[in-house]
Amino acid sequence: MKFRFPSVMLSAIAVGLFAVAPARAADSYKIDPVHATAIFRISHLGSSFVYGRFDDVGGTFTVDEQKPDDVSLDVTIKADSVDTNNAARDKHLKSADFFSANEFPTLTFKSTAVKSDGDKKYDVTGDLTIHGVTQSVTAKVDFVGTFDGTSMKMGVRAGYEAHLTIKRSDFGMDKLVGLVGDEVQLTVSLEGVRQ
Amino acid sequence: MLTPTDLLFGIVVPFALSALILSIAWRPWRRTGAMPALWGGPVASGLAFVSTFAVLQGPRHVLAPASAILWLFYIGLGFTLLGVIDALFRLPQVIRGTVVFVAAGAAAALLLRFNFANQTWDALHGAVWLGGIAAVAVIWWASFEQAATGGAITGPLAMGAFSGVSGLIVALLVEQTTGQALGAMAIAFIVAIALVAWSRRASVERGTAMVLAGVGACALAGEYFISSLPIQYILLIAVAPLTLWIGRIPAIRRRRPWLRVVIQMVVLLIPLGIAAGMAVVQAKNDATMGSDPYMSLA
Repeated sequence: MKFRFPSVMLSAIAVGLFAVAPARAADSYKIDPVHATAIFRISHLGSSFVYGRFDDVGGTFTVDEQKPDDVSLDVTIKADSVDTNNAARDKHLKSADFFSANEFPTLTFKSTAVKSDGDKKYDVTGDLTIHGVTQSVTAKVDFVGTFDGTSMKMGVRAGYEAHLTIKRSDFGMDKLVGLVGDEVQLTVSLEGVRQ
Repeated sequence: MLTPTDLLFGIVVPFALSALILSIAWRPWRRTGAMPALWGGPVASGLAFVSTFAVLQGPRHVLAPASAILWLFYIGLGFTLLGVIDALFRLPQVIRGTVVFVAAGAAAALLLRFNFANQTWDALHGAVWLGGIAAVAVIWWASFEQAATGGAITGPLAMGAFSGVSGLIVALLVEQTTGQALGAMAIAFIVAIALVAWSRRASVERGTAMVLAGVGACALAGEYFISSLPIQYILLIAVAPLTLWIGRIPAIRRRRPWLRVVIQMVVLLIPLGIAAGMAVVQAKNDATMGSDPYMSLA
């Protein structure tokens, strides 16, 4: 008779191993697109704000609880996933008037310096590339928390939320400025799975 | 949505600029003496496109442009220069066609080179596309040129309808600025229609068709590859100039000039009208919250 090791026992051993494993120096996390969100807010006619989102967010980040200043973020957003709940406006946003999504398929952010200001809050400076233009920007980033879902086959998860305000004209996207605001507020919420 | 700047630099300025250039070149009030200068057509249509495009795109016209679409500024200037040379020097037809092919292929390569950088195209794929765009430019040039030589008013009417409908479709469906620049060309042709009708000696032969074919082929190729203008609109626009050859059919060529013009315009407007109608319906469907997403809540 062939012996089959019960899967419950395997899970228990795995959980036990993780529970006693020493904390790693810097853990790398792959962004889970299903639980990552990028939204933006922009003024419309100076009288209201329109919100939009990008439906395809990916990349990696690190978490280092020992050396918080060593964290890094590398986020990639697909330009043609822009969604403002209006097909005509989305087409216009993807066109050469704005993102030129076929020519510049991604928006990217790569951190270059991190300053921790305590309480799991960071000022993350990095290179933001939109529409083929790269600018150094500083985002306010909160470390949200971690979740050990190993026993549920969800892996170890952690997340950040970043807030950033940019001027779209700095990235060569200045169409309709005045009617539609120049200043864009971005909020990016990231959940990653430890690799 | 058109702003006062759009109206000023998309309509008023190209109208005034074209009227000034064509009046100087053609002197439509003169009934005798030297024939009207042919450089007026390429200069007026080319500068209408370039000036509108430059102003509405903003001050970003540096070499090399940061964004592919900005190459249209230089492409417009280049074809305007070629059009003037074509108007001033009587070159053999084969050389003129070769110039259009080479210039359109080179211009399209500058405009669409991001497809190589993004690895969307390999060398063979790119060569086929660029060769195809250049071939379309030659076919358009030959079609408009023969229409312009076949009847003075036919040229500006056909070119105006073609550039106007192309601009409308581009502006409605994908990108406003290039659409407005093509529309500015149409305004130059409207001025040309009025002055040709007045002068009876003026013409858009030689040069003007080169500007429209080169700029039009590059602009529409750009809208397809950069802004994803659906292919069915490109195809309908692309076949439209071919219909102008109907004026060469003996049964139609023998008709009275005004009837020949009417027949050519009606046939030309069939594919252009279908494309324009489809674009209007598509734009209305896309804007589910109103005719203009930027004004839908206003």
